[in-house]
Amino acid sequence: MNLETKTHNTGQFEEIYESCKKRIYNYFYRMTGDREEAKDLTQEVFLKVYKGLDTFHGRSDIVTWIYKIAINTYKNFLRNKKKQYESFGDNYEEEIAIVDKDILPLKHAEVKELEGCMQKFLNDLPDTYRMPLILYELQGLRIKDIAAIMNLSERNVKIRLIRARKKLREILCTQCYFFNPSNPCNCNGDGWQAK
Amino acid sequence: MKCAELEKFIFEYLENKLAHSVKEEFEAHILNCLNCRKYIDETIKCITLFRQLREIPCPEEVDKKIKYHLD
Repeated sequence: MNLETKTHNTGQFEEIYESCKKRIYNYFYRMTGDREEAKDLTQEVFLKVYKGLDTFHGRSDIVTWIYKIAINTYKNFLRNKKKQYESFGDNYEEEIAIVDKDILPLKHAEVKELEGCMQKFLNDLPDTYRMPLILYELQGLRIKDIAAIMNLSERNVKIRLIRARKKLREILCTQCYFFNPSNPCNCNGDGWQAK
Repeated sequence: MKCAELEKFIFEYLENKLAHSVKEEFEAHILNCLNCRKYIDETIKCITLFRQLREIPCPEEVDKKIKYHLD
C-alpha cells in the first residue's frame, strides 16, 4: 500500500471505527458475556476492516459488511475455543441503567441482578437465536439488515426472533422474580441458573 | 381468528405492522380470549425487560490497541 492510499484509508477507517466501535463491542459483549473477549474480538474485527477497506466496493451497506466480519470472527473464535458458553463477568454494576422506567421501574440493585440474569439467559440460548435477538432487540437493526448479515431470508430471521422471544417468555414467566414477584427467584445473586 | 393462528401474526402485531383488517381481527380475538391476552401481555413485558440491557462504552484500551496497529 503506498503512502497516499494508506493516509486516505486511515482517515476513512477512523470515521468508520468511531461510528461503529460501540455497537460491535456490545455485540461481542452480549454474545460472549465477557468483557476481555469482547475487547479482543472488537480489535480483531477492526483490524480486518482496516486491511479490507480496499476490497469493500460499496455493494452492501458498510455497517452490514462490518457485522459480517464480526460474525465470521465470532465463528472462528468459537471454533478455536471449542466451547460456546462463558460465565458472566462481575464488574458491570457501574454501567447499568434503566431504559424504560415507566413500564417496569426497578431499583439499581435489581437492575444489576437483572443484568446478570439476562446475560445467563443469553448464554444459554443457541447462537442461532441469540444473534438475531441481540441484533434486533438490543442493537436496533432492521430485519432485512440482519438477514443480509446472517445470510438468511427475512422470514427465517423473524422465525428465529419469534422462537427466541418465546424462550425468553418461558423462562421469565416461570423463573424470574422481576417478572412476577410470586416466582421463587433462583438467581442467588449470580444470574439466572438453568434448572 | 383462532388461538392457533395468533402465533402467525404476533411478530407483526408487536411491531405494529399488521394490515388494518388483520389487526382488527387480532385485537378482537385477544379482547375475548383471556389466555391469548395474557400471552401477548407477557411477551410485551419480557421484551421490555430484556431491552433494559443497555449498551456499554467500548473501552479505551481497544482504541489504544487499534491506534498502535495503525501507526
